[in-house]
Amino acid sequence: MAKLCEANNGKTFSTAEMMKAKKGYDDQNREIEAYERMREENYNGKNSTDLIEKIGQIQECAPSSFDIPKFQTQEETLKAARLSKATMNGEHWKEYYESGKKFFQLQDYENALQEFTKAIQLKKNHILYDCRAEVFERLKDYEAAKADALNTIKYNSSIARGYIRLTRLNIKSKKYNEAVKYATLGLKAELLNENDKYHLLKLLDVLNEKLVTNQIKKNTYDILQYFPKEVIDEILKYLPQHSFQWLAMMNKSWNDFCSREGFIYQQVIVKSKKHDWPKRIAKMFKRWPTKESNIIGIARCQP
Amino acid sequence: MVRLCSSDNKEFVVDNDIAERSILIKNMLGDLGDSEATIPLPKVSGAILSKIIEYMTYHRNDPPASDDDTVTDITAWDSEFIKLDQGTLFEIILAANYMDIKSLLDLGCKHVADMIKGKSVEELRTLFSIENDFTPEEEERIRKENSWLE
Repeated sequence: MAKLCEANNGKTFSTAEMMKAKKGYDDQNREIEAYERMREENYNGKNSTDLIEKIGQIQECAPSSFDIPKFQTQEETLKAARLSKATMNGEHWKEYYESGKKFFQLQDYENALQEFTKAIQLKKNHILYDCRAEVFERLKDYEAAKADALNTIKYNSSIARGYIRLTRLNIKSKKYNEAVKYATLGLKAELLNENDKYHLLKLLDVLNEKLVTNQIKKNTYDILQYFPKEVIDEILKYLPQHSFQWLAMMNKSWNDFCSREGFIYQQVIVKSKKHDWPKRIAKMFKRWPTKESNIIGIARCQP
Repeated sequence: MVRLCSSDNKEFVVDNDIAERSILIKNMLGDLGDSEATIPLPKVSGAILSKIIEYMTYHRNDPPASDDDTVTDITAWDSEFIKLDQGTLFEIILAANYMDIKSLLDLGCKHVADMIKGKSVEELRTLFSIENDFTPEEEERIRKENSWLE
């Protein structure tokens, strides 16, 4: 398989190199932990937008193995049995597998896909799913590729290729949390070839870089998540009434906050200077548009 | 002289009258009764603390903050001082709140309010990296509810 060579770069890595990579990874982990602790202590965990913090959390809660059924469903088994009976010796899938490989080498991915799918109908194993995942990836059908990569792990959890593919594809589609999850799962798994973990570590490096640049680029924080209540109040004190109309529309938590604090009003009542009642109503509410005397709005307001 | 120690163990030696712009430090010094003490500030990083000391030094001769809510004008120096990236600005506000430096807290909060003023919903979302979690129907409903001021 071409991909296997590529994944391994045709190189083997010495134990010393592996240890070095492992140490780097451990150091990084410790750094993340220390950072997290610092954040925690400084802001009582207020700064929850922190992506680096999130890595830590994900690593913590990533399951050490997949919860996958060991056996195929009865229906699948029956079908497979029937199909293999129909074939001469039950090894018929190999023919499709071989022809699939040929099409793949010729870069005829559509046909390769068909052949591998036929093979999978007869026989389910990690090699076939991995091949088809590769084909899907070449065809840029990343979701299907991910599904097949999951199956690769399902049929053989000690082969790194499924984890590597899932990590790589998730990085590609910017789902960094998912990527971290699968990389960590791969690192925790007992792999046939432990050197493959080196690739996962490398992918984690790439991932870390992306997360850090993401963080720097972002450097923006949601006031509501970042500040304690008293500071938020202090900021909102300086805002004109109509600003809350926009703030309430930002997202659900802002909307909740604005209605809970009685910042937003539901309908326009009058635009008249003659009536004196708006003033009386105004007294009922803590926050009221002050200067815009001829624009009066009232309604929904928490007591 | 007072020694201030930041969360990352950086020490700053400042005059008492400067340090006492922070009510937190002032109260701590009062409690300790020892003007040579080292004051730990575990919630403030060195980088932020040095900015805050810059602010306190400039304002060392200001009259003490009064309790009433008198809104003072922002001086040119202040408006120059508060031109910071959002991360630093927010950290300064948090630190000012923690160290109880009312004028600096006001300055920061006013600046954030100015950032919010006159912005559309979309601009605000980008500004504070807020994810829109409304469904289109919910958003429409809220838009209608709140559209009393166009």
